[in-house]
Amino acid sequence: MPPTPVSRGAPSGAPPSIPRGIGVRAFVDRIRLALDENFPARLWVEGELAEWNVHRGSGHAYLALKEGDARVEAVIWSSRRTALRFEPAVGAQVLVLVSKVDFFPPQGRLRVHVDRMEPLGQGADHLAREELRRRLQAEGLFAEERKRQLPMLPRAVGIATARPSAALQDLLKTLDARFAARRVLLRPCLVQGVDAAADVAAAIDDLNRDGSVDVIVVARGGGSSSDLRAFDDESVVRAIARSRIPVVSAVGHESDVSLADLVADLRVATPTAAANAVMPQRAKLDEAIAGLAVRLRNAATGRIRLARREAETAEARLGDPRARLRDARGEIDRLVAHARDVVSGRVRGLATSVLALEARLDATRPQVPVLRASVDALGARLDPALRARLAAARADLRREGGRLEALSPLAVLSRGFAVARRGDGTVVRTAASIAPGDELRLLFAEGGARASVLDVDTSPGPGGKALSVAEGAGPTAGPEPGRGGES
Amino acid sequence: MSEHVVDVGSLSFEEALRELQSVVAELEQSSPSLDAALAGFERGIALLRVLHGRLDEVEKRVEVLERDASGVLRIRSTGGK
Repeated sequence: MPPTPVSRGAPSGAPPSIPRGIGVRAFVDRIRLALDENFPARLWVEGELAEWNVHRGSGHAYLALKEGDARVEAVIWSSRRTALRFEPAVGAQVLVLVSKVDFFPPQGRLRVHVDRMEPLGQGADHLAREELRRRLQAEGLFAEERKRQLPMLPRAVGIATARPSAALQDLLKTLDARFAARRVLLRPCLVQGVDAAADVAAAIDDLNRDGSVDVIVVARGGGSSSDLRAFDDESVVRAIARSRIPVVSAVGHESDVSLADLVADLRVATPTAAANAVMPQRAKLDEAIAGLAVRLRNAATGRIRLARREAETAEARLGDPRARLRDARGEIDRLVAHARDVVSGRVRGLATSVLALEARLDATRPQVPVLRASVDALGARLDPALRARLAAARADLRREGGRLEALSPLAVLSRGFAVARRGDGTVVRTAASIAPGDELRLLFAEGGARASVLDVDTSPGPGGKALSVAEGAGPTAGPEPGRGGES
Repeated sequence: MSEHVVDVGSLSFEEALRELQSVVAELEQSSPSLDAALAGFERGIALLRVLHGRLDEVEKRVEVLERDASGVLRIRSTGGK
């Protein structure tokens, strides 16, 4: 259309009267002024969502609302759209907060700005739930620090759910598969309907009052996911929050999270997942324990083997009393030979007496102290150089004997010796450190006993203590004294 | 040592398991005196006994917690389902 109102021709004589118009800009200004005057404040508008398009680039959403044959278009800016708490669906009844009604001059179109949108119908419920959520959150009920660890192996599992229900069946089936020999305590409750919230809360309280379960599963699921209201109810949230027993929620829905989920110590999607979370697999536990048992045994036997090696090294250098005797006798032989060399015929009588002594030793197989005394006596009559050697040999004997006594009782535990301990667990090393009437614990290679001391013999050498086993199982023998017999 | 023997029975499964793990690690990693090694071994055996006890202490059963007419909580056992 030509921009100016010039006549296309003048067929008739009289010039027509041409009406004068206002400019488009002025016209648009008047429209905008009228809109401003009529919609001065924000306004809630409800209707059916007739169109919903999110612009890919900008993220703004363009929508249309209608009621009957009335329709209006609007826009939600990207920042407002992402704050929406639900996914708008065309055809749904919605409530929108109109912040501004404007006319957009470049496009010559009305533009309605929407700040918020809520689903209508559940709208009021939704707002109330949001309000409750905010309040409970402010109280700290959903805080991570409140979440308790589930027990590794519950003695019993408490279940609050409907009976019969698919949820209950899934729970029992999975618990049974993981660890058959466990106790389940069911507190049946309604999970849908007006009385559900109170009943779920009472079930959690009852299971706490009973107190025999170590974990509680609150389950729903298996059916439709439409009615979750009980699990958004404050009474249920508070019952979970005050439960002394950890609570797992398996309310069973994917899209939305219930307030019960938020407050529970653990939230899972399904009853089966709840069973997996609360009950370990018996086979895995058996395996772990068996592994530890093997490691314990290996570590202990390794340590004992090390001690035995140490003791045997000491024993090898000293031998048992019989070996000590042999060694000492060998030493005597050597000394005698030396003596012969050194004093030749002059002290033949001495050599003869040594040989006589040896014969006597052979006959009587004396204990080391006796032998030692004999060696001393002999040494006193030998020349100083030989006496020095003897003294060194004696010192060796004493030193090695000391080591043997320190180590051998434990090292030879398995050969029938026993470890004697005082009440405080310390090992008895000398007879002088105990007194008649003391109570001792004896540890044998297998088993142990409590014993009380009848009498104490502090004379040197092994095998001097007189003990009597007062009670307990196992062999009644104390440390075996060096039985001279077999060789 | 003697007080160990007394309190081991009150341990939960996971307490006993955790302690057994640390006893074994201690025996494996450090080189304790024989006394300490024997005490550790004894303790470990006691803990193993607790663990096996805890695994086997409860038999399988499903019970129902309900209130009787006067509102008193009571437990009723079911036939397993």
